[in-house]
Amino acid sequence: MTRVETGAPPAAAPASAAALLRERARWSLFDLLFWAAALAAFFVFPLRLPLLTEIAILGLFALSIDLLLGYAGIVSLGHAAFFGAGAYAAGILAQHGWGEPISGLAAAGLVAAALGFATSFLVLRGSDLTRLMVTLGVAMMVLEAANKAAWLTGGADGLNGVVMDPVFGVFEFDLFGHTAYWYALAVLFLCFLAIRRIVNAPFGLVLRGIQGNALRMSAVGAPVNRHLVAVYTLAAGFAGIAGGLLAQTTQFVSLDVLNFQRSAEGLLVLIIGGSGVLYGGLVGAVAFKLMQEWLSNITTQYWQFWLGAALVLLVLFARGGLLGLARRFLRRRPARSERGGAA
Amino acid sequence: MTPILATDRLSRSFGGLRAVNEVTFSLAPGARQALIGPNGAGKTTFVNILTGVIAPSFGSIRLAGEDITRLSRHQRVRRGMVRTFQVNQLFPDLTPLESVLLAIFERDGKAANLRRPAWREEAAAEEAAAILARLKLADVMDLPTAEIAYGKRRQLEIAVALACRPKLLLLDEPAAGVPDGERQDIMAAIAALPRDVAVLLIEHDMDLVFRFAERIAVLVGGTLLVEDVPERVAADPRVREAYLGESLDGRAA
Repeated sequence: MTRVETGAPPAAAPASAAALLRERARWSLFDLLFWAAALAAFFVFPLRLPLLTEIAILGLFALSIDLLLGYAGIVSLGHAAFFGAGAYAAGILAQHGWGEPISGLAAAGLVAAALGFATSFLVLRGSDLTRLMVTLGVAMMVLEAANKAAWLTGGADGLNGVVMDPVFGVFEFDLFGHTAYWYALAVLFLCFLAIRRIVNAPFGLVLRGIQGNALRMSAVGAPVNRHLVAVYTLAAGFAGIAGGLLAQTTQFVSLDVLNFQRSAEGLLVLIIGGSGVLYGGLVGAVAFKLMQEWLSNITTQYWQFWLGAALVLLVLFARGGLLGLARRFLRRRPARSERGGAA
Repeated sequence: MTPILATDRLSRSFGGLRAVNEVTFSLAPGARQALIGPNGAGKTTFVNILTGVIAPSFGSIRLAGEDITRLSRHQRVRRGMVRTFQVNQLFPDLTPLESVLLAIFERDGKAANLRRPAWREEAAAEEAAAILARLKLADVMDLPTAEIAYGKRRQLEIAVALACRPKLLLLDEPAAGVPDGERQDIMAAIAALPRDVAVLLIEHDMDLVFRFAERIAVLVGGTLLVEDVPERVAADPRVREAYLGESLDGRAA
């Protein structure tokens, strides 16, 4: 019973509790490398900018799922509903003459968040299975509604005539996708900063608490349902911004933005990269798109087979996705959880 | 003085079975009370009704004079009724520091903050560290909860509850499963609870009960049999009968 309780190795000064928390929230070399690589990609692959833009959009979509699944532990098979809502919101605005991109993107986020808020009450109760079914069902309904409302969405023909104004009134969306890439990357970075901030704030702790033990959360006085509504709304809003980006950079919206494939892809990307760490969705998006490119070059028709095989291997043998794998490789000893901070 | 907790004919039936039967019971602020009873006496159901996990079939609950019978679980916690769990209910991926901090943020209404980094809440972090130090958890406060020893996790159960700043603390078998060598730590922690917190200890371990409690309530078959000081409860023939085969002054059989 005479154990020393200083809580730190004798060599170092005892770390204060706030310092311990801060340590986990610090920027690291990995952050710098990742974003530097994203900038460098523009110069290294000037002919592949449309692909890079797609990666940024997919990354943002996966990041929004990470907030939901990786942090709060809410499974969803219908996140495309929000991506699509954002895409149509931005597209329809531009089609009707509101071509200013930044306000259009804000509108996309708001419309998707409103849809998220309205449907959040359906995912409060029930098990993971219930949530899977409810989110899937909601997304199917939204897809059919968009299909039916052809006067507004163009239905199966898609939304044509989306014309964007220059970003800040200066940078025209060009044929090579220069502006599109810078724009998408900047939006991704800003959304990343916002989400990073959220998960490092008290609310981030709340989300991880809900995932860890919802029963105990209510026993410490947490209004769990209110928190769930908040995170579902937020995640929907970010997905909507990703959808808006797609509409603005491709200047076209089709029903694909709402389909099951899109929800599944977002989930897949997140699992490949690693959920519950901010970079999971981003690294996953890079890996997924590159793998897709590479495999479809080798075997045009059967690339999905190999993608499926890679996914199965990854899930079975590399828990925590690519980032989990990388961390284990770098450390070679029991990994300590490092959510919220860098990967 | 207004009792911190007062139940009035609190009852709950499951089908034909009266699991809790017209329990009228009160606790003074700062009380040190134990609730004992043989297996199946309704202790767990009683705690679940108090904390709002299940609704009573009949009767009412008052917390510091306010009727809380219809309030949700987290609203009761906000008003000062906090519990620990017989089977650990912790956050496996969070560190003890984060777990306690989370409870403090919820208590202070800061949990919904999306913008201010958690580490900037220095007062909250210091408070969390102080609570953890009091429960001998300072040396493990930065490890994932899943990686700390079982006995430490039992201590953390109490630490998280204390962070909610309870007026009434329900301790549900705090020493359950703790090896003998570490029981002293739990007992010391319970003995050192702040005196302004009323404590209701639900426990099988008679050693712990008789060391800690100033009054003991005995629940048998869903009914409150006796509520008195330990000496008289121990001497009560009805209690001895209910505990047939178990020793009241030593460990439970």
